[in-house]
Amino acid sequence: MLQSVLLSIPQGIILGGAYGAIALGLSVIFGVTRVINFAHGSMLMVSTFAYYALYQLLGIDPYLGILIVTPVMFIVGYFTQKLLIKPLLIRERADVVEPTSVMLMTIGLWYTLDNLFTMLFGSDYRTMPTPASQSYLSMGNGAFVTQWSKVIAFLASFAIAGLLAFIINRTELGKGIRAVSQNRDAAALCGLDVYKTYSIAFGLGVAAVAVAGACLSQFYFVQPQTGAVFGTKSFMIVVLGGLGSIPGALLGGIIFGVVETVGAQFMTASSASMLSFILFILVLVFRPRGLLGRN
Amino acid sequence: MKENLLKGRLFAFLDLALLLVIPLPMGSYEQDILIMVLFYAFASTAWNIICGFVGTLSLGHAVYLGIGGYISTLLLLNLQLSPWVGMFVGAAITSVIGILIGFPCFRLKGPYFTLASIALGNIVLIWVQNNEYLFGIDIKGAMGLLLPQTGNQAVAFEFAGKLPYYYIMLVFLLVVILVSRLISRSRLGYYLVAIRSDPDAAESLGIPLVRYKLIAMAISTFFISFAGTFYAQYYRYIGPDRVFGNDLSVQIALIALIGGQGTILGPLFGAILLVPLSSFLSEYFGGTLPGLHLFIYGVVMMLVVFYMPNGIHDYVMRFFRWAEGALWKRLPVSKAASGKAES
Repeated sequence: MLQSVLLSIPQGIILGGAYGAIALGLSVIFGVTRVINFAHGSMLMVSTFAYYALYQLLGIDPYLGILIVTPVMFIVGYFTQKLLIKPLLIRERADVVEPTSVMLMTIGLWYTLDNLFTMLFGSDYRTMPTPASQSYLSMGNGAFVTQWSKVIAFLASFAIAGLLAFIINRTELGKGIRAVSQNRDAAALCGLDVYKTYSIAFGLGVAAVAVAGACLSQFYFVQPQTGAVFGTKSFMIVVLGGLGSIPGALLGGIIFGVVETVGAQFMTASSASMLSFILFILVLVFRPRGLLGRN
Repeated sequence: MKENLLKGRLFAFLDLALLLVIPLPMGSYEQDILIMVLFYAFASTAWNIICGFVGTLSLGHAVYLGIGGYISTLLLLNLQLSPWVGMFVGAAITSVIGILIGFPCFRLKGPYFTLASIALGNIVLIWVQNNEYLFGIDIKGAMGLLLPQTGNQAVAFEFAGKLPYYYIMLVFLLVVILVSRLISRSRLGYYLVAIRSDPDAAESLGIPLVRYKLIAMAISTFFISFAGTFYAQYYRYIGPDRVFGNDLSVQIALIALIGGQGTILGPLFGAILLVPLSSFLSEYFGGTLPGLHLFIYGVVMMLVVFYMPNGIHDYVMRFFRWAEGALWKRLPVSKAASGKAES
């Protein structure tokens, strides 16, 4: 018993890395635009379908497909913000409606995309028999076994986090993003195009989730419900780690992964997913800014 | 003045009469859709009492609906208590639960409250799916509870045809609309609107935010639990996937938001627009397009946020005013009334 509990911890950390990878994009979008993108999970789901299509039609391995899908999803994110959210933000500045309209827009987009894909492709579970999804990492004479694709997802989460941190902290573009996220009025006075920066940040967030989607599609089903399952978890992870914090999203993801995997040793796996929701509510009540969040 | 009063009375009477006779010539399928219109309108109006007036967006309100339905059903199955009584027991317990949940959650702002409500909904859903017993009472886990079919018993809230269910739901709906109208014209309603437009200003004026939010929450959850009892009695079944699932919560919220958040008749208009639209389209495309009805909710939500940020309520009302005015001029009563006013 103790051994299986101890062995479940690294399993949880690896799974949590994948959670973190998915949540990173959401955190970036929130950090810059202060918008909680409820359609984040749907973007993830759309990207996994794109990888599936590339694999089935052209035989392109999802890891290679990142080179095609990620730029496309960047454009999708860019124009989602530009066409759907920007007009609402401009209207809200005039203070005509309650500030909930952006949230409602993303909720509408979430339901539209999820159910559009259900209509088009049904809710079948699709998998891709790629090399990564079928090879296993085994240690200690089979005491610890996991799919290589999960390990890759874990490593990818750090790569995505590093890349996002690099873009935001070390580049000229990132300087603009940071300026806008700190004070959008002051940034606008300095001649920055605030809404364009928002669009770029949105595009970056969606591109990041598209990379995570490639990793996810290797060990999880390609299915329209993916959005609801991982989207909801991403919100919780991002709040747990601290909204807008890149290391926070990784840490939150890993905590979620460990709680669920270790919990599954004591109860059924589906009951264990309840634990992370309980953890989330406790964090909200006792430390609403999250573990690594700024005040 | 007198003319307007008479006009208002007349059209209120006509609208009510229309609601009373409309299901009579219809077949069972159309009656079912009408019942669902009223059901969603009722649940959304109850949702609107807390979420519309105060402006906090709950995406977990189906939980309270489900709890109410489960309580009355369990009382019926285990103690043979009539759902007419169980309904009120369920409503009382549900509103206590609503207050207990609301107390910590109302400190959360904006999206945090919404996320907490989603998380709570998921906790209840997963718990019920994975547990067979609650305090030793058999709740049958993911399978849900089947209600016995005993035929036509008004005392047991069970009827052979669909019409009685229609009229029951209509009464429920009229009551909750009346209550929300009373609230909106009472001190409580003014406080809630003040809290929605500027919580900080409201608090600095000495309005105890949490207390009034909790009162509204108690009223809202009290009523929405009736919808749960109705659901169980109508379908003779209650199960976690349907009554505790995310989709029902989101549907309830979207109907009210599309209809007009914080308005009295908005949720009804939203239900009249969305429920038949999604039912007919789903029926038309048969089983070929699963997910179509929720797709419509999503698209309409996006369109409404974009083009009618306050919902369709104002447009529908304007249309009704215009139609009533046009009709009024043609009625002989109007000539008599205006003639009287002149003399």
